Amino acid sequence: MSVMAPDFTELRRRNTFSIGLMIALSSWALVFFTLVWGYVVFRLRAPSWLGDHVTSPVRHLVVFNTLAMAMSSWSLSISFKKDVLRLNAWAWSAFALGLVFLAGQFRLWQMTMATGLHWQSSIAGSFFFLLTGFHALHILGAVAAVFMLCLRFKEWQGTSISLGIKYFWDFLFIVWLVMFVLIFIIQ
Amino acid sequence: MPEHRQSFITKYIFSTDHKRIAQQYLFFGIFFLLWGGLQAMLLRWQIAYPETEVPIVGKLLFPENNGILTPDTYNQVLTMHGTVMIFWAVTPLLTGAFANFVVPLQIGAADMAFPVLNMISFWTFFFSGVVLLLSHYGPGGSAAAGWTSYPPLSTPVGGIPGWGQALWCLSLVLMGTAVIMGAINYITTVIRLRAPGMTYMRMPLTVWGIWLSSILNAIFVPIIAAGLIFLLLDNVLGTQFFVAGGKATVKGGDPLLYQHVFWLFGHPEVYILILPVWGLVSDLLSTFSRKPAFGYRVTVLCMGVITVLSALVWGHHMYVAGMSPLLGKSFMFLTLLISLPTSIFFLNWLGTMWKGSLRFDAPMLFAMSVVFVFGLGGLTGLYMGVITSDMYLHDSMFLVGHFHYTLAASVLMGSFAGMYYWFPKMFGRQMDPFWGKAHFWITFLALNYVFFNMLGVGYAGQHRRLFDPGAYDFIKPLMPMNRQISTAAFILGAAQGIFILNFVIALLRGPKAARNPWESATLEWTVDYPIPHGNFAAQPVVKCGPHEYSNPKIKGKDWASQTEDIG
Repeated sequence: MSVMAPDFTELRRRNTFSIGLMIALSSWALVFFTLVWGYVVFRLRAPSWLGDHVTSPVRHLVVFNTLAMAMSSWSLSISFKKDVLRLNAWAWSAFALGLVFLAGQFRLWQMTMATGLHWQSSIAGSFFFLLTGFHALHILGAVAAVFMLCLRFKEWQGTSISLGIKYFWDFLFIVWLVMFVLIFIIQ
Repeated sequence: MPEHRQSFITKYIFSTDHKRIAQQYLFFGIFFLLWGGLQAMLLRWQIAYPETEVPIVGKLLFPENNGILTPDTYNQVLTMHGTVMIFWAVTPLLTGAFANFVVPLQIGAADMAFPVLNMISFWTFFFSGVVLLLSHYGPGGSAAAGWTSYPPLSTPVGGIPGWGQALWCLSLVLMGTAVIMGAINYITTVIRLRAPGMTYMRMPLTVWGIWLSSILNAIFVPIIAAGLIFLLLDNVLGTQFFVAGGKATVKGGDPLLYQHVFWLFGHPEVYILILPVWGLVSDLLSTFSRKPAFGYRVTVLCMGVITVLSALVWGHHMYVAGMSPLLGKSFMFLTLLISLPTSIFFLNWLGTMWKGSLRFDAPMLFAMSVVFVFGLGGLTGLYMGVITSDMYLHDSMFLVGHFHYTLAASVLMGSFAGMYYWFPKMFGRQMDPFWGKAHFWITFLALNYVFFNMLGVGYAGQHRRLFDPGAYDFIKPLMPMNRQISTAAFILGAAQGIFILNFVIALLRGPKAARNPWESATLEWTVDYPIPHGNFAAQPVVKCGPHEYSNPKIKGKDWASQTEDIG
């Protein structure tokens, strides 16, 4: 009986990719960190922040969006087993939930702008639209990547690129959680 | 490495070979070096001979003003000189050309960890340069708020109209993206692709410098990217981030935030540029002194300590912006603390040269001059780091002299050292040694004349960035000195013609270089030009450190390559 030798070169390649990916995500996180740092500095000094612009329906919508994002991240993670993409249906569900989140964010902007909030109106408005908008832009790119992942499911199975998309998706969920807490929970 | 066919496009334009990308970065960097240098000449002409026609290029560049620099154009040229030199000239040379060429070769790797990312990185950099150059032709001309672009001057509210500032932000964000992609590559390559036996403590100091500088890049470039996003949105969408509106109200932002973000990146940027130079100078001093680098481990440790400290001192750029005395003193303490590892570093350089058999080839002359000019830059830095003297000297020509010594002089001389040193391996030909030395002496003397006297006029009270300093009575007595500085600057600029001619002639028909013309011990000199795609025919195995010179165990020659077993 022949024993197949483990593919060390492939393993090495993937480890190298993981290190590169971690550095890239750390750099990326620092962009968000600096934006949030600016937010915190201003927020701490201001006597009031968004105030009446965050109405009760807005709050409900944000919670709904957060749940959509959480379920999307969760369903993409169960489509992987031991770092190999397996279940196509779960990947499709992650993609669909990503779209739901984007649509929800769009609705969020509509509702807050209806209350008179604008990025030119105050520093609170500037930060509100910058943080949510910058994050949504990333989600847009990432949703497209998840879509490609679903289409090329067979080709990308077990490759570094599928892993990269998964990490990036989780990363954006964590960024959203931080924003959710800082913007909507701490009032 | 299997042979594979490459078309013209994949071989010369969208190449993934780190050596080709290094050459692309080199030409790109030299182009912008000349462009930034030309801008420096324009500024010096205006200061020495205010509002007279700029000779030779004036009519060509400013036909609408009869070749005269107007105040608006002066501000634009001033801004672009700083921006171009730091981000588009020196950065591509050091963390583009040298890092790309040297890192895989010196650690014995076939290529970068991510060759395609490397290619994308160069073309993003290239595109950013195009955006920057095009900003000259947009409405209102290029950015004009100084290379630091402090708001409110850099925002539409009370600032300068036009597209220049927005394009400036955009091009810098693109440049930053390219730099981060490069940093990801260098960090990963060093961690993962070192040859067997190439332990961290056997890496050439050049690789150490580039590696630490890449770590700083990966951490701090994202921070300025965020700052530039704020600034870009203020310019384009009318957001309120840096619009002063009283700290207690919710209406407005705060311009001071920009200064913090800018310098939180800006100070490490100084070390991002200088660390690769320190590394390559340490290696070159050892090679051309035929002695091991003195205190290798201590040098590495000092570089590491400086890397960490560089992140904690940004406030010393903002003493005059107003801060709490306790915070100011903390920044002062941390700033002065940096002089400790730097001094040790400096002593190690002197220790390397002490009683060595020095060979005064062009790369060595340039490397030695880095020790000198960086010493002066460091010493004048003490004046700027101490709050009391900074209060007087800040915003004077003394500051200009100081940072030109540290940034321009040392980094430029270090880049020349690297270009003369690696040219034989990059292009397989030898540059003319006599004209190399001639280039060195004229550059060295003129450069010191320029920057040392800038310290002088600054100490005497001349402000920086003035359009026409002679218009002020108290500066009038300094005008003869200003004209001398300008003359020296023109000589400095003209001397670069020697370099360009030498470079081009050597490129076209210089004598073929030997495999190891400098008798250097590091791995890149073990392969013949042209180095094939994949670098090494067989995986090199490293058996000793990078500076085995004059070791009595080596017989018949005074050096041993890193692949030799000296027992």
